[in-house]
Amino acid sequence: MKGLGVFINSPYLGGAERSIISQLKEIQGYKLSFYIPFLLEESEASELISHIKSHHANGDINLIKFPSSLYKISRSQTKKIPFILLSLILFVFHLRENIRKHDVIWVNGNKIGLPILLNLILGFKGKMVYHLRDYPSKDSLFKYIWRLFRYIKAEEVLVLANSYDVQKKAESMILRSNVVFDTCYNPIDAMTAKNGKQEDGIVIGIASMLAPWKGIHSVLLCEAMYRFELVAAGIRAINIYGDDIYATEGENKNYKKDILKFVDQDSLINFKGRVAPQKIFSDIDVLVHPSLKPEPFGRVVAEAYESQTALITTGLGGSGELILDDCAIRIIPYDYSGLKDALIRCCDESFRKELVQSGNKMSQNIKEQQRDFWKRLERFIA
Amino acid sequence: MSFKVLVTTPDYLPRKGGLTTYTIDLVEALREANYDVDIYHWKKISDLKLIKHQRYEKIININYTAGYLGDWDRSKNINIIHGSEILFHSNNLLKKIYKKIFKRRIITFFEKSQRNIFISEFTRNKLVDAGFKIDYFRDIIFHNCINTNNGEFVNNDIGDLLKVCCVVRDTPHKNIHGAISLLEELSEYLNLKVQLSLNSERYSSSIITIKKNHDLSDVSREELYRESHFNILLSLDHSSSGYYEGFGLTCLEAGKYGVPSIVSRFGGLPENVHDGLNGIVFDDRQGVDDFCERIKILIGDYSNTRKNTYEHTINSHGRHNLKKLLEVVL
Repeated sequence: MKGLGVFINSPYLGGAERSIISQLKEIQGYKLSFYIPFLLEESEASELISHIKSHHANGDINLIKFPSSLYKISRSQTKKIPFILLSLILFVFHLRENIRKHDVIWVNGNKIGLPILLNLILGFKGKMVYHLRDYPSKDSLFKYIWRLFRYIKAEEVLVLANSYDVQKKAESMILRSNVVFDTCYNPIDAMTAKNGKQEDGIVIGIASMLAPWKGIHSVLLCEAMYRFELVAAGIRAINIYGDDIYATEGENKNYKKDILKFVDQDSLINFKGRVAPQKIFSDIDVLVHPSLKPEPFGRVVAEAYESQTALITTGLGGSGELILDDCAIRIIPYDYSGLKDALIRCCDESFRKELVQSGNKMSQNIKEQQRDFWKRLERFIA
Repeated sequence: MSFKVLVTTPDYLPRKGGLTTYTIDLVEALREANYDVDIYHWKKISDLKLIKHQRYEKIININYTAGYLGDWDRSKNINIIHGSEILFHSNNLLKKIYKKIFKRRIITFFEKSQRNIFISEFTRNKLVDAGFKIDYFRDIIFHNCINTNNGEFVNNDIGDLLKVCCVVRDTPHKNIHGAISLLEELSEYLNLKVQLSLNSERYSSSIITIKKNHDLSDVSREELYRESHFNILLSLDHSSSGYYEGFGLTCLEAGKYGVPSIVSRFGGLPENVHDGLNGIVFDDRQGVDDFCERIKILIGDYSNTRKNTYEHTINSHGRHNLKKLLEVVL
């Protein structure tokens, strides 16, 4: 049996990790080996390991110590470049044997991608799927990743994006003649629809890690400005599901502390922490996706369709590909009044049903796109 | 709860301009929210020493300089940050040297203030680039609002002449020359006559008609907006000389009659104009043909574009929203 080495990007069970674990169930005839980075302790990955075991009982799981300085550069700038370079070189050699064992390697993000690409320059004769879960970054050391593609010695390389918007950006940055580009939308777990009408008011949800570009603060300000109107329209609560899951520096730092100050005793806002998607969507009537920057895919958008939940979204970037006019309400970043109007519109049950029906069709389109991709992938790895 | 609020401003009547308009609207919004408001119109720095700040619970600075140089508690300050005043560049050498020397102190002033209200994300990010640390509760992005009480939906079809207005001061970063060039290309591409109304007299074109309106009165400016099919504002980012477009107030002034805008991708303009909703953003990197094709689509659905522009301006940029914000931040 051929071997497929899957290099995960983070020890935590985030959207990218859920996606790859679910997607690999489509691949038959390969022995799967998972490589999970951790920063300080192996226990950081316990939730992720359980998730892998529940989906791939026969897969090998290997933990690898990841230099924390290298991990932190993904979302913040750093001045410790010489130290990072040294950590990187040591880590490249640490990974070497693990890479060479496999016929195909699957790279599930840029943090792990950089040391792997450096390894591939030193020689690897198999095939590589480089899975972009985000827009190719031009920041810090990552701007050099895309140049490395010119020098790697892999037999064939597939750069896989999770939206056509990400693919387009990747094509403009990765200049190598024998790289193939493709897109596969992220998979979404099956969800049951919420049953019945809320008798005691509408519950709004935001499902997102707590990071500034996710725009949670703009919803909090909207709630503070228009609380009276929202309550009068029938909104009972605005629940925020998620936490600060990344141990990165920069603009993420203190965000949670800052936004908690918006909440007073009369507020509709409830911070719920990390909750499983099925539970979130069974608790809410409307999902708000208020991102302020282009989202590579927008997993919660697809989850809202799957769970038959009405959706309000800024629809920036790749997430915009999943939105047609009648399956969600589009809002503009920082348009607090526009968000308030959208929330009030969604208090009408028949309007929510119209959105949900159109969302169902879009959900089918997403699944069809994924099926088409897996057929193409079989040919690539054969 | 209501208490005494002071609004400090360097620009006020009888002088007209963006800051004067903003001050009037802000004061009206405060009064609508039942605050007891005084206005302090300062003309020189020494005026700031005369402010009897003890009388006021909060001080709203239309330009941050008053709060920065005033001798009251920093935490009383709510600063409205419009745009280029927070740049640490200037064509005026003395001003530039002063800002460079006191850069850290100015940034600390913002960090110690009670609230900072930025009219665009672009403006906030300029300050972040200079070393400012954001507090997402203290620092709010709130797009400009105007008095839309005299707004009215005007359904003005495009016949064989496309009427465009450009109501700006004739300064380099406003890029009137660029607006003329783009409209010339558009006229040729669509084979459509174009008339551009300007309040400057020094421009001409052999391809489009330039209508010069020197010294527009308030009434004639409103009339110009009403009769136009598009407003154009192709400002450039001249941050290194101390100028950029913080948000682009004229897009709202035109929008309250349903007139969509053509804007550049610089400054706060793309936060103001949303492609296909209330106008179109010209991205010079995509080329003129791309712009012409996109505006052709917009013109094909022109009456809906006007309707959307009007509704968006009234609902999202009406002064009632400013009143709501002030109730929260005060």
